[in-house]
Amino acid sequence: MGYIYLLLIILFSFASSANARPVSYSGATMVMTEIDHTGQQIWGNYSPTAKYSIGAFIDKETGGKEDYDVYGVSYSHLLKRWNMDAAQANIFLTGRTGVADLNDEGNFFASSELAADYETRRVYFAYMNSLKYVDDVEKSFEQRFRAGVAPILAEYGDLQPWLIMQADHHPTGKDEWVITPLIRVYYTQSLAEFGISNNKDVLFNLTLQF
Amino acid sequence: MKKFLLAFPLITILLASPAFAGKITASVKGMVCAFCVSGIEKAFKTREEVDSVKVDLENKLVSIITKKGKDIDKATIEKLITDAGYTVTDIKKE
Repeated sequence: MGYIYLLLIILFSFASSANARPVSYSGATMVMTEIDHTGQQIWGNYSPTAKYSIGAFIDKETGGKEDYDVYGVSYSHLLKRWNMDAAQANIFLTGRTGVADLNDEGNFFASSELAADYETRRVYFAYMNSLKYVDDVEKSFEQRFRAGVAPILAEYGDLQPWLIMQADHHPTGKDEWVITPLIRVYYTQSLAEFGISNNKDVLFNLTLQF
Repeated sequence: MKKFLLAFPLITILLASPAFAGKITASVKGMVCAFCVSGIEKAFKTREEVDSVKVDLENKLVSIITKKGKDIDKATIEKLITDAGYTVTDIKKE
């Protein structure tokens, strides 16, 4: 059964937990940290072209039935981009694999993530889902919905704030639905997000681009 | 002496004038955020012909100022912007 699940992940390999897009411009390096009700993660990646990125991550998972740490590598691919006059939309696919450390025992970890977004200077919509496999520890599906609005429009070099509502759906998690209103701020090559969920969990994400 | 006094400021202005450099403006689709701007700016700043680059998110324009006596062709500009992940719709040279 586990192999069938793993095969499904590889075949349909669906998408990303990153709050910034997982692929950047050619030659860019990104470092992302995420802290929320599902755990803590630090992820670094490098985009040789604007089509794909390779990276490595450390993830402390606390949102499922078991808590564990993951050490792994990632590959993200821009499947499709639509550049419109005043908007951009994307579909990304990310695959991850690594070792999940649970009670000092190494377990095989694999996940696939699909992310889609649509963004103008004024509005932002995103959808992400994730299929996760950790040997006999976890087989899960999660999805995230986001909608946001920019209350003011800033030029590059000024602070650009966003107000975003995030809904996380974890059919097998501790909490099936978690709603988090958050504030996102862009400043040149950095992006920070801060929010508090309906369960009073703090969300803090930081992305730095070099 | 009078001619010299007239000519001196004129020469100074001409030497300092950006007229010796070129300005190129590209209309670009898909630019919506600060990360878009930094990607495009970084791509142009690596070019030795380019003196400065400025992205106008509101009007979807990328303005490139070349160094004195230097030029950058339209095909190169289009490739740099396309490689950064965006779509060029028009390029104007002044």
